[in-house]
Amino acid sequence: MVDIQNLHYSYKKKKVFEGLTITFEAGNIYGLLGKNGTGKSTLFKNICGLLKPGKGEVSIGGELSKLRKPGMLSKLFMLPEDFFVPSVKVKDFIATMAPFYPNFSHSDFDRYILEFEIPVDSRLDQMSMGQKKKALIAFSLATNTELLLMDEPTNGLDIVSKSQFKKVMSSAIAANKCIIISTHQVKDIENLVDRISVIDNGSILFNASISEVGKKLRFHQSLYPSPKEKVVYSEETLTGISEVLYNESGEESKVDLESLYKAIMIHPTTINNLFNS
Amino acid sequence: MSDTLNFSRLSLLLKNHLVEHKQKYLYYLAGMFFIGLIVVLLVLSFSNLYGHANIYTLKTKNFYATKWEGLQTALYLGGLGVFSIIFSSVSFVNFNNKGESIFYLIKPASQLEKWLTEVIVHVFLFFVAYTLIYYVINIPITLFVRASEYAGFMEEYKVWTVLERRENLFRASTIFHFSTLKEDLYMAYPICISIYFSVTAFFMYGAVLFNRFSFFKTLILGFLTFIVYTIYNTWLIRLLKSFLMPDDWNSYSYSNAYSRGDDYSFEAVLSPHWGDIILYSLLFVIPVVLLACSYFKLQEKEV
Repeated sequence: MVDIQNLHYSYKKKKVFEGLTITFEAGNIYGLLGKNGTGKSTLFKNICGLLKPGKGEVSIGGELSKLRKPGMLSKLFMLPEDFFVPSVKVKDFIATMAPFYPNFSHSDFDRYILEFEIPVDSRLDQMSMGQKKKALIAFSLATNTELLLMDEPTNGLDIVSKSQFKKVMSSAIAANKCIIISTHQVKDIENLVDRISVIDNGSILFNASISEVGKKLRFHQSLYPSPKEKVVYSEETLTGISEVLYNESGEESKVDLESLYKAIMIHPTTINNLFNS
Repeated sequence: MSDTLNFSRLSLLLKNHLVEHKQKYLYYLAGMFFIGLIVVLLVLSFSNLYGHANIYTLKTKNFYATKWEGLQTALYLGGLGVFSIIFSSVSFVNFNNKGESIFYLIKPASQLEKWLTEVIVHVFLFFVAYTLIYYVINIPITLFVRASEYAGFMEEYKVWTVLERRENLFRASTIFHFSTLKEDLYMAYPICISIYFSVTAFFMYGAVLFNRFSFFKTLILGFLTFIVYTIYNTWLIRLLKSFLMPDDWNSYSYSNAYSRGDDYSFEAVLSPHWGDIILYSLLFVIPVVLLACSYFKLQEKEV
């Protein structure tokens, strides 16, 4: 679906990517994690062709994204963190934007809008920040594009909206779709993503499926610490000790994304050795 | 379906553009109408076109008729210049706003279609809308002037029309007779139109070239360009001509040399036919080059 080969990109004074290579496959929801300023948004922009690589290639379904051809653009939708909505009613927005996307589904859109409780007769620019975001999420999912990029989609959403988001997202996944969600709020994408990619210092630090993580690591919450040799990462919390352990028993546990992310960031070599073995 | 230019996608994009910016454009049209109306009324109030006309005993009725036409022309062309600068500077969305830029650039249409949409709206539709607004203001005002106490001149007070002057567009002698700019403004209509296209194209280029404060940056760039052009026009050309034609070229400007048909003019150097072609190209090549620059810049645009 998305093929990134040897991507080099730098802003005027800052190198962001030096030879980044990664592939995002259809049929998955990716969680793209990383510290602030590591290049998650820059990667999204390179994928969409909004930024042009200094070296290397980014292609979507075999088409170079930097050319920004309409055929390629109709296969993707990006919901940026600093999103924009025009000064039009929801129905006018749909009437003039939907024809650009050949797989746009009006019934899907109606369903999502109903779930998000968005008033269709309202003007987009007069909605609250959360409503604007939900309207755009509904639109982006209804486009049924092969690639959907979401940068911090849950920012600005209240607790109820976040659970609506999860519900809507889980209903939208299809075998031909690839969804990449970049976020700092890992709790919001728990039980939603099926692959985790962590980006750090312009390269991919970690890239594995949730089931793979579940097979190799065990996530454990207890009052007493486990033996040191079994622990990859541990952290004291208000309710006890949160641990990431080597999964020796083979028994799968629920993946705690926050602990996993911290384990990857603090012990990258240990994690990579484990997953590459 | 062509990846470069598809007319159904272009019309879709045009419709999308007009719907998304409908409110902004309606405000803009209303603003043009009211500012235009106020300016025309102020000009009429302070001019001696009528009311005080009888104190100028030496002036004939033809003078007043010509003056009214001159005023109409000046208002039309002046307004076209001012409003086109403002309108073209808001073309190519607001690249200052990242979200809006992303929303615009990821729309599934080619860069050529996006560029054409901007050109159609900001150059051609604006021109038509502005001209219509001008008539909406000007026709009743002219009728009012006709109905004034100097009704004896009524047949002279006619509405100045763009269409009436269209033949001037294709007459090189009026275009390059620069002195007419001072004498009869409407005679210089083609020059003003080419300036309109150039200025519009320049501000469109500025809108896509600069990310922040594009209007002011374009104004500064325009000012610098004007200085460079003036230096080029006054010093360099004269220097070259004095080198090529040492016989006191400096005493001749292009306009008077051309209009007088002197031996040292373009007319003498080039045959009228080729002279027309070259001068015409010079006149209309600037907006074309600038529009092409804005297209290539849009293709390269990053957010």
